[in-house]
Amino acid sequence: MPIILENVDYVYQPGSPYEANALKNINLVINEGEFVGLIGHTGSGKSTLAQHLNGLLKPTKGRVIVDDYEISAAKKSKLKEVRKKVGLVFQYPEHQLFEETIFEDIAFGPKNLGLLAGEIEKRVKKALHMVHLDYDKYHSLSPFTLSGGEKRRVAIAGVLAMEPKYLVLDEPTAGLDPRGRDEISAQIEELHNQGITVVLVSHSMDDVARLTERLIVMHQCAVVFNDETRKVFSHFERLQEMGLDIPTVTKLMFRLKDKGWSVRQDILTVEEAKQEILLALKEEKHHA
Amino acid sequence: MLKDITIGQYIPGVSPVHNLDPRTKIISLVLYMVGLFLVNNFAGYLFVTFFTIGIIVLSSISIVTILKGFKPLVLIISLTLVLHVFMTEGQIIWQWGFLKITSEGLRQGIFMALRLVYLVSITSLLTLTTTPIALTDGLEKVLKAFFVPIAHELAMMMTIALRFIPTLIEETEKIMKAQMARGADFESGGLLSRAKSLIPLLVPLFLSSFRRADELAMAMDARCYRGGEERTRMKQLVMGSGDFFAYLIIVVFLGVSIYSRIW
Amino acid sequence: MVSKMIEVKNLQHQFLNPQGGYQQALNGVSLRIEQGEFVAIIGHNGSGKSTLAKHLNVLLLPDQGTVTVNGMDTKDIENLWKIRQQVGMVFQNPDNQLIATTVEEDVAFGPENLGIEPLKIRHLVDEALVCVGMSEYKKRAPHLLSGGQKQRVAIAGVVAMRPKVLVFDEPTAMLDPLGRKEVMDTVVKLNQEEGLTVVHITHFMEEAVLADRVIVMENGSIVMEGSPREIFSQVQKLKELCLDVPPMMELRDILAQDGLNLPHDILTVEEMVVALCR
Repeated sequence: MPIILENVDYVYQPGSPYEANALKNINLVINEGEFVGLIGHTGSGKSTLAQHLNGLLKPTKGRVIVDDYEISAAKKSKLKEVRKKVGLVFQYPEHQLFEETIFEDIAFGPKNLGLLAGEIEKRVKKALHMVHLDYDKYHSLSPFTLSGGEKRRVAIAGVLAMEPKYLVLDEPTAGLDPRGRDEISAQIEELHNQGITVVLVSHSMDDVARLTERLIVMHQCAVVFNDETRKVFSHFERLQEMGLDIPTVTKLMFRLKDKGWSVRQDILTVEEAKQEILLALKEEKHHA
Repeated sequence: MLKDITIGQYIPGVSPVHNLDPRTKIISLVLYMVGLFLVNNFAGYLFVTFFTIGIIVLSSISIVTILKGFKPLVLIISLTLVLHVFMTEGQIIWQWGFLKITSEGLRQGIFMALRLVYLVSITSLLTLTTTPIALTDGLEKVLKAFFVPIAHELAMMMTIALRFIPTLIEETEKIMKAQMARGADFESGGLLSRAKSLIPLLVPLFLSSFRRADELAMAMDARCYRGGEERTRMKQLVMGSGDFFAYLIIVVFLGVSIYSRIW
Repeated sequence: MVSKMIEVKNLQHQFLNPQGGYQQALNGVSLRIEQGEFVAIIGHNGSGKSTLAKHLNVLLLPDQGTVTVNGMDTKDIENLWKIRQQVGMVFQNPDNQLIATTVEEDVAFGPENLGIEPLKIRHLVDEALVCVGMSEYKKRAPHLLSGGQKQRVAIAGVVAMRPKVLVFDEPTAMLDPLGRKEVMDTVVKLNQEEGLTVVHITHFMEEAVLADRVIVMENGSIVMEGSPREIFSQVQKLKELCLDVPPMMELRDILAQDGLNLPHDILTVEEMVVALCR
């Protein structure tokens, strides 16, 4: 069952001198099994939108429906039920680690759900496995003795232990070096392949290009694009106006087209670019 | 959100009180407190009331703003009033069962409550009319003048604390949200369970504060910080004619307070 | 005459491992940085780049080897404060460098520590804020600034001390793309317009290409050194070191594997377009 946002408005601190629009008339559907990207400049409303998906924020107007649970300003909702289904990993999630052992920290979520000890242990083992950390080696260590990348994986495991159907990740690769970034990206891809619906909030166009099927672009609190990733990146100028970039290879295709080459512009990876260029050269469809 | 509220609540203005050197304000506050605790008769309190109101008017801060600062203190002031009214021995003027009110009790109660009210008013006036920087600078100079050890370090600690309060509030909100996303509940339950639920909030906060302190110290080292020795200040505190009059006024106030007690 | 600003000879540094034993953070590093140069140091976390940076302003002392800044040996305690004034450092976390309640107070912190007289501090602060483009935020409280703005204030705080060298330890790691651009524009400006020597530590390859020279570190040693083009054209080696490769370089490489040979040093989209259209 999808997550649906219906005419969602969110006003921050209504009635106060700090009142500000954070979301304007959002209408979105996130289908089960998708890998959706959410991009936009800082302040465009991405994080606010992400927090509506698991009920951390309630819409000022309109409603959010997660499976059968409706979250709206008027209704008192079973938010714990929602948080079971939609996991949210914040930026720098390692900052939320607090327990004495990794086991205890990952168990925090399941404990809050009221699960029994046996089930909790099962979930912790599974979560550690999902982030490629060996249970026997890690479960009794203090989370604070780990490296930055490992800590982040433990924090993500803490959310995975809730066994969410949907996983929203806010800049999961922020602050990591290329190696750490590749590791986390690969793990997110794997999670998606295992059946979890992923919403990836990111500033990295290359990550988003490589991983997502659909892309939601936010600008000044509203949704501007909501389409297949390839199609979204073809709106080069519009994206630039909004202060957003496109993958380098996509830029190359646009420039080649300018020069008269007959190439597709909806290219997202280096490999695709190579194919397209070789094809064009072979068919000698380029004219200076 | 909460970070838009600056602690200390400085309200910019150009009143005579705003323009005073912070050192004058700090010393005057201390002398005011002495005078306030010296008066103990009707005439004395009348004088203090007019004086206090006069200072508030001079500062052009509205009474409403000052009264806002009383919200957390209503309980203490009421308690003081009630305790003194019902517990003081003396000439009984009203009785019901074992509850009695004496004229002395009434007097003491009102005087004590007024003392608290005036004390809080003038102290909050200090933070309302003085920027945090000026306040810590003034405090540092006053402490140094009274040969208090580590005066500079105390002032530096105050500055850094004030600078980081909004940042810490922001961080607390973030950690709360992250833990709530894992099903944490900070709102329901009895006192004990609510206290326990604070651990996932406080531990990360403490840890990040220690890390922050470490990084900050390194950054300060890198900018050649070596304590208060031979350090200059860009903003210099300079006393003006207004300060001279302020000192005059507060000394007169103190004098009258002492006199009202003897007389 | 271009002079040696920084000279590092056989620098070794060990850390005490919390789990016991020693960890070699720097394994005999030698390098030279000329006055006015813009040097980028890249390498993944744990390669020793941050450790190296901290030796340049005496936050760390060598276990073996020497570090000389503008002719001064860092091991000589007499030189400590002079070196710290000449080598300014900007760190990764924008928040954890700002200590005062307003921007101008924070920028004044450095000069105040140097005992400079008040009026001169005022000039230094104003000039530094103009340099980083934050003059209109003089009286603003730090927590109301964006990440990029905070970092620029941190940079101003260092620039106000009139250093000769600026060391940037991953200053953009915690910033969004806009913030990164703001900071890099400032860094380039400080090097080109003010003539400051810049040592820039980063793992963003788009930043390293702005430098005159790129140094690649791995396991406490320098493994590659050269101009950005020389370094980034070695696609295979960079991949082995788990470092980012410019997409155009990567494309050039895989096109070559399929028989299409283009010049070796294609860095930008434009250069690729030009090469392909020939």
